[in-house]
Amino acid sequence: MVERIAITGLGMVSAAGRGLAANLERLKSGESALGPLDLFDSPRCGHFPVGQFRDALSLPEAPRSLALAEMASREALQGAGLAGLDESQSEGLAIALGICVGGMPETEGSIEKLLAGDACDDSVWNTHECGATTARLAQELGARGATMTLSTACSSGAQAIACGADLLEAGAARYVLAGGVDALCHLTLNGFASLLAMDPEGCRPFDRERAGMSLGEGAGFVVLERESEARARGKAPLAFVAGFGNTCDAYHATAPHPEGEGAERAMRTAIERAAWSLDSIDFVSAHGTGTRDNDLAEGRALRRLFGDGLPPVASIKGCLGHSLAASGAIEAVFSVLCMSAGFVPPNARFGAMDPEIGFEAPRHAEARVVQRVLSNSFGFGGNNTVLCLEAAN
Amino acid sequence: MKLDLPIHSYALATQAELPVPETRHVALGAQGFRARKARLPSLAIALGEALLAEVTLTEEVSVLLGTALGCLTETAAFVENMIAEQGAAPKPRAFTASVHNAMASELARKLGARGECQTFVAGENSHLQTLFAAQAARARGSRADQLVGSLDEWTDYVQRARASCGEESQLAEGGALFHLGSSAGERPPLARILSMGLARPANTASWLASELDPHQVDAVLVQDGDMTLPGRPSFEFRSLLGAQPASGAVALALSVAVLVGEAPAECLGLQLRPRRLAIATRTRFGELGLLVVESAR
Repeated sequence: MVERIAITGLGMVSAAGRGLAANLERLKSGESALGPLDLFDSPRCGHFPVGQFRDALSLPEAPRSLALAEMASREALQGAGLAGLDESQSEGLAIALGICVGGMPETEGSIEKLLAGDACDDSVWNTHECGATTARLAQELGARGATMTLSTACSSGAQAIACGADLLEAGAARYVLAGGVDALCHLTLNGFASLLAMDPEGCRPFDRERAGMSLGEGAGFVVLERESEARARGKAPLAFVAGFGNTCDAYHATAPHPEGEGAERAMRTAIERAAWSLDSIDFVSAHGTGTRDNDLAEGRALRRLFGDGLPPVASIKGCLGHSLAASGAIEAVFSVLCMSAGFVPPNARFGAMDPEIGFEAPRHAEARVVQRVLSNSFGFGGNNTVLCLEAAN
Repeated sequence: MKLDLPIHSYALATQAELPVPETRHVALGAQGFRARKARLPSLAIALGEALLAEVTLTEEVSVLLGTALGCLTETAAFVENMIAEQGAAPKPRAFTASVHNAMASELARKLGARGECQTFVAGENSHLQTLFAAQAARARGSRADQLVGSLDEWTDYVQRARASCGEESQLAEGGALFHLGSSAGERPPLARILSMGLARPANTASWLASELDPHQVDAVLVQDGDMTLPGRPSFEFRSLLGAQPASGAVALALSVAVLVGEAPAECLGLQLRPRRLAIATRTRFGELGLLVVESAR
C-alpha cells in the first residue's frame, strides 16, 4: 500500500449493548452477553442461548438489519468528525457493507402469509435484497458516493473493510464507511441448528468441551480514509489497516479445510502485505466460533504459522455470539479499542485447553501495550479474510 | 474509475434467444429444488466449464461473482419447509446452499481455485462490483486468473409473490461469466474493459454523459429506456433480455460477442461492427452503473 489507510471512526452494537463504551466494558470483563432468545418465538430452537441486541432501536420501524447498521454507523461517523456531511463530504463518502441475511427477518413473515394464501406485503420488495440495506443506509446517512455490498458469509464484515481500503487506493472515495451487519432470524437459527452446529450451553471457543457456536446479531463499522486526508482535516488516526488477505479453501460447502490450509494462506498474505514480523503481533483476534471443526482448523493454522511464538489468541464470540456478517467488523472495531485501552482481551467461557489445539486462551483481560492485531474471519465455503490492524503512534 | 481488464472468454445463460455461438451459451436448467444439486451454483459451474473449455489456468485462480437475490431455490425450499414443518424436519442441504456466496464457493471448489473468493450482492450492479474487485486485486499485484460475472434466478414462489403485489413485468433469469486472464503468458484477449462508474447522482443523464465524455463509444446499451442519452446511439437491452438483475452481465457478454464479430451488430441495432461500447445499468434503489468495453481484436 502506497499511503496508509487510516481508521478514524468506530461504531458497534451487539448483545453487549449499544456503543463502544458498553461493549468495551463488557468484553473486557470477560462476562458473556449470551442469553435467552426473546426477539421471536422459536419452538424448536428457542432454547439455544443467543447474542441478541436488547436495547432500543433508533429506527424501530425499519428492517432490523438497517436499524442495527444505522446506530453503529452513526457512531463511527460521529467519531470520525463526519456526523454532519457537507456537499463535498457527502459526494465523497462511500459505503462498503458486509451482510448475509439482508431483509430476511421481514421476508420470513411475508413468506408465511403467502403460504397461508394471504397477499404478500409488497414492502418486502424494498427490503429483502442485501443491497437494499446498503442503499437505505446511504440514504439515512446522506452518503452519495459508491456503495459496495458483499456477502461472503462469516467473513463479510472483514472483507468489506478490505474492500473499503481498495476503494481508497483506487481513488474512488474520500472516506469509506466499512463494516458489517446481521440480524437474528428464523432462517439462520433453524439453519445452524439443522447442521447440529450450535451449543445448547452456549459457545466456548477453543475449549476442550466446546460443542458448537452461538448465534448473535449486531453491527460494526469503521471509517476509513487516507492518512494524509485525515491529518489535513485535523483528524488523528485511531489505527491503520496495514494489510489484508483473502483466500478460498476450495474444500467443502461448509466445513473448513481440516488443516486450516486456506486460513493459513490468508494470514500469511495479510502479514506479508503489512510487512510485519510474526513476533511483532500482540494478539490474534480469532474467528473462534466454538465449533469443533473451526477451532481445530484455526488452531492448527495458527500453530503452523507462529510455531513456538504464538501470541495470545482470543475469540470474543464467547461473549457476543457469532453475528455472521457483522462479526469480522465487530472484531476489527474491538481490536482497535484494545489498542487504545491497552489490553489483550479475555476469551469468555474458555475453561480448559484442548490438547489437539494446543494453546490456552486468555481467561482474563491482560493489560499491555497493543500495537498490532491479526484479525481472522473464516466463512462458509472456505471464504477466508484476515486483517492486519496497527495502532496509530 | 479507470480499469484495464482483459476479457479472454465469456459464457452466458439466458432465456432470450441470442445470436452467440453455441459454445458460449449454457442451458439454464430446470427450476425446482434438488438436494444434491443447488441450482445457481450448478449454473455457475456449468458456465465456468464452458468458459474454460480450452484454457489451462494458472495456479492461483480467483472467483469474484455477483448476485442480487442469491440462491432463491434453496432459500425458498428451506424457509417454506421450516414454516410448514414448524422447524421439525429441516433441510440442512438447502440451508448450506442458500448462502449468497454458495455460487462462488462451489465454483471455486470445482476448479480447485484457492485465490480470492468474493461475492457481491448489489442488485443490477453486482457484476460491476466484481470488476472493481478484479481491478483492485491486480493493483495489489495479483497475477491470478480471475473469473467474474453475475447470476440470478427466479422461483415460482417469487412469481406468486410479485403477482400478489401487482407486479406484472416479464421475469427472466440467467447471467454471464467472464475469464480475465492472468498477465503471465496470456493469449490475446477478446476485449478490454476500460472504465466503470458507480454513483447515485441527482441527475442520471448528466452523470452518464460526464462518464461517457472521455470515451468515444459507438453505442450505449441501456438497461431501461429512460436512460437513453440524446444524440447517442442507444439500445435498450432489458426488452431483449428480460427483467432480471443479471441482465447487465449478459449485456456485457453480448457486447463482447458483437465487438469481436461472434454476434451480428444488428442484434444491437447497429449497422456496422462497433469498436467500443458502453453498458449502463441501474439498481432498483437508484444506483447507476456504467462500464466501457472495447474490442481487443
